[in-house]
Amino acid sequence: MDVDFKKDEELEQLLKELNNLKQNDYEFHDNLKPVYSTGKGLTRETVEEISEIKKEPDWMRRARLKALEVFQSKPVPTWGPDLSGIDWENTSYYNRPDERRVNDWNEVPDQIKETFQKLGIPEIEQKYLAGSVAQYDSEGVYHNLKKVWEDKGVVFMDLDSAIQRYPDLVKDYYCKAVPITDNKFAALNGAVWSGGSFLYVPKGVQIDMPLQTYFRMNGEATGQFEHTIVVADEGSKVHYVEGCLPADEIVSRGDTFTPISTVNLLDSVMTHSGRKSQVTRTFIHPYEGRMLTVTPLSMGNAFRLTVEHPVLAVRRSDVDACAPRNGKMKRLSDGRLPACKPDFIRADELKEGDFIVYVAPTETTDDPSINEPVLRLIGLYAAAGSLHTDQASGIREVSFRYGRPGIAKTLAMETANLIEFLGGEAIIARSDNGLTTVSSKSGDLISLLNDLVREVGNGKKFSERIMLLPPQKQKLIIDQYHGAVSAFKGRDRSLPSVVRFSAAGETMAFQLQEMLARIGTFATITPGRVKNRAIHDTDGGSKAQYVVQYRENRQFSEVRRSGNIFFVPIKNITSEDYNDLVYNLEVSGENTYLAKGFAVHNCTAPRYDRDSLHSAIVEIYVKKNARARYTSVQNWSKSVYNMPTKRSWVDENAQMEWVGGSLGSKVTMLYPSSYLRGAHSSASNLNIALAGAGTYKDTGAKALHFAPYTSSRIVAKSISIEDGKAIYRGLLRMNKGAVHSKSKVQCDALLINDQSSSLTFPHDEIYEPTATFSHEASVGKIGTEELTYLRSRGLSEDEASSMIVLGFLDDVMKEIPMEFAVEMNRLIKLEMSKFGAVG
Amino acid sequence: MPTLEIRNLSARVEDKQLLKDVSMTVKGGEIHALMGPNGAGKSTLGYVLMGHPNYEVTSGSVKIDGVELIGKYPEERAKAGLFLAFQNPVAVQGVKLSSFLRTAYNQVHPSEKLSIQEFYDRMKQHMRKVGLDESFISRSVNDGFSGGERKRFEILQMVMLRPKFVVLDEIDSGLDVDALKMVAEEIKEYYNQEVGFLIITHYQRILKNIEPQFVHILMNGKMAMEGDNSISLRIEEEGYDWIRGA
Repeated sequence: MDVDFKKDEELEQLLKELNNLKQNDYEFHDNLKPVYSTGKGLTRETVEEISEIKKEPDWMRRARLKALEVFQSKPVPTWGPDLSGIDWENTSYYNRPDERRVNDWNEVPDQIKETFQKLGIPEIEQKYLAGSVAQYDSEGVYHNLKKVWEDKGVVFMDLDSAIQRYPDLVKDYYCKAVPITDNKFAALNGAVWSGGSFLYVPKGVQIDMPLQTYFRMNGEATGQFEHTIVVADEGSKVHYVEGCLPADEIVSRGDTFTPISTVNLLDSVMTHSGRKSQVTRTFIHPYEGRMLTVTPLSMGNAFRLTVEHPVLAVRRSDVDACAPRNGKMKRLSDGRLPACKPDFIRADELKEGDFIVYVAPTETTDDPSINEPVLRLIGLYAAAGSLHTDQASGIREVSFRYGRPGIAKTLAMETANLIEFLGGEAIIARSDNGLTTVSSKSGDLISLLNDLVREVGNGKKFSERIMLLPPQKQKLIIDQYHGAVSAFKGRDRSLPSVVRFSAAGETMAFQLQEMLARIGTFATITPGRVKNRAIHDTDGGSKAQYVVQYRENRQFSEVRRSGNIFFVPIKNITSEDYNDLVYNLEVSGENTYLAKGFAVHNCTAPRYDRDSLHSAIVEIYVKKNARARYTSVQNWSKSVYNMPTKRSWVDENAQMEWVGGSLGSKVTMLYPSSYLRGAHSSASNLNIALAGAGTYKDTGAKALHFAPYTSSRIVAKSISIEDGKAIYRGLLRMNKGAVHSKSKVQCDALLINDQSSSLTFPHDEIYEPTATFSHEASVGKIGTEELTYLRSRGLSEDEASSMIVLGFLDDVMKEIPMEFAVEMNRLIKLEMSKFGAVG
Repeated sequence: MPTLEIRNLSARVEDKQLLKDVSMTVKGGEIHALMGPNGAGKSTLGYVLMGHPNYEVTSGSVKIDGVELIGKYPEERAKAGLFLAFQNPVAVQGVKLSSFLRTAYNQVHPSEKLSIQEFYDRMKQHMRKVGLDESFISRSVNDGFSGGERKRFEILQMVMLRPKFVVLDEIDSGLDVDALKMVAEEIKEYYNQEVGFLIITHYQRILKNIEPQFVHILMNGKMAMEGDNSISLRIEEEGYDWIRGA
């Protein structure tokens, strides 16, 4: 993947801060008793009680009890990592999550909260991650998407609810791919499971957007013993993501309208609520794909974004639904639109005519020193003023130039009066080229103007002090500005209520639009090039111009206002191929930001956990001709034993893809398996394991070929830091009859220190003579030559080794979803830095 | 004026003494050539200047503007303004050229806030000048590069990182005539009164494109001769034997 350097800088900063925290701050020491718990230890009564609490059907109760017997009869496996540290007696097997939520957050140590903050995780997600809310409800955000899925017959809910609502469907798949007799931990899950998802994708339904557990709508999102079932019925397509990954990227402007590429960590940007919020992460990466340009009413507000980026909007087709009137189709002007609640809609699902949301900032800070004369002079200065410094004397001078006969003189007089009223001296002069110039060398006045209106690029911008003024004060600036500029542009004769003037540059155009929105009017911005000189540009020649238009005391046709938000129809949407950098922000709190004033959304989070024993089951059924992908990034706290069982059944001509990243935890044993049951089915497995200090990663994959012409591909990459152990353990079986099946296994290990270690245990059972397979394995160390080369260009040892590690992972990163790669990249750097990895 | 001062520098690898009492002063605006037969210790000097951990400095000093570099990490030397174009730059698998350069740039020029787009624009402009296709931006550092491409990339790094002192170790090897011309043009364009060059070369070829004011001859780890460019011209005619005899 492309290492994202902007984020690297920010990470650098963050890591410095993190390094100052103690290492065990990442662990949870939570002595809180849950409000409801079945107590410690595991007995038949515990299991009965869990089933009772969940009001489960009898078949599930019996399945649990059967599983308990198996669990109790099976010994703890001894062939892998040391599991003697698991305290079976003192483990709580069931805590009712909705009762433990509230208190837990208070029990989360402040430093953990700080860590979450430094990781840039929004508060609601922090609570989720700390286990204090069992569910991260993003229903509001994804309501629309959910409806689309439901209409197609997709079932996506927590497994408990699915058992109540679709008992027969669940029963068909529950513990079929992973029988409870499979292993001790699967049996444990079978006895005490709680939480997890059920996802059913009907025949032929293709879901292009990754379905993420965070977007599931109700019930427990995760648990200690979660059980997840994914069924991709014939010909369907689905990508299931465990956790939540950042959404894709856009080009945007914050409230001061700087390009998104220049927005930095901890800067404030405006969110869709109209309030400012801090940027907690920034993203940049190359993007190759479709890029949409959404143009709301006027070209100046057109913004570009990737197809899957959510945009706050109301569908035109929903306007009737959200505020019906006698069932009759009415003209839009009857005021129903403001009653609609906007939702986040994928950019490529927006249509021309749908309404997107322009947000006027609501925060104001009055500045009494900026009084009426100052405001009026600022308006004139923004329109016609400029500052010069005399090279010879070093004396600064402000001048205002007015060109139109008749009105120029009036404006000049007014300017001179204002300057004198404010304690300065003004000189009025007429130049040969017909301009009337008012100038002043008053130092205080120049400093004031220079402070309130800045020169930027080809224009000017108002300072933050101006932008935060109450709307009525801003109105004075606009009136004066308009008065001065309209000497040139005038009003539109055909539409007398339309006020039109040109802005001094793009930034000022957005600022004027924002001010007008605060006053209550939505203005359009039309960029163009003008030949004639604008009043603030006496140089002549062609230059970019931004024409701001609005209607006094009313809105343009079809624009509707509701408080500080404006519903603005989309005039058109165009699509183009794009291959360049894209940017994205993560913003604390609401996690939205405004693209040229319009609201879009973002989302992200890694996963931490506090329970010490985790044993999940994931069962995936990929039916004939279907495709399923399962992605998970797991980053557990360092006390966790993570023992999941993940397995897929892959039918004829179907494809299964496992993508996994395993970080954190004390011990992880994870071997996602693919049972290739139908001819021409295939499975791929990309896995990255990071064994940090004191941790043991026993991971790998299993591919079992039962049918002809099946293929599997396994790529496993591991990194061991300090005394971390990374083991690759794999099983490849080619049954008799799996004719002409193929398998390719590649495992690469990278050792960071002398005491780190890596072992490979591939296990092959080949019973079919026509089958072919290959194994490649490599073990590398970070080399002196590479490190020295990178360091000779100024990179520190840590930076250089992080880069090499990420480079080592690059061929896997390239194949996995961008968002996942970004997340992995971030977590790996964090991990590397936490342990002070050195070469 | 920036000054790189090498005084009585001796260095070894394990028990093998490779540099013996080498002294030289390079000032901003000066171009020095370091020549010598194979195995004379020319490349060793480059590595020692850069702080390669395999070489042990047994005595002497290397200063940039009075600040001692011996004992400092390579990254600290880079930040002090030193740049070594490696004779055989290593491939670093998976590390993207663009992100590597950008990270390095931010380390060497921490106070310069160059936006990513500006950085890209500048990089693309120089890539054209050194003859590297834009597609190299997303390739791994030196991975699968030809010898010539590696050299072009070294020069790209030089112009992007803007060092005060540049050591070019056999920059012309692997470059054909046209490529050498391009690279030489880029070096000359970068050359100014604030930058000092030390061109390490076995042959006189590169010196036809970039004419040095000073020529140093290293033999068996020792300075054998110093003078103006006439030395290099004679070496082209006669090789090194006459110096051995001198």
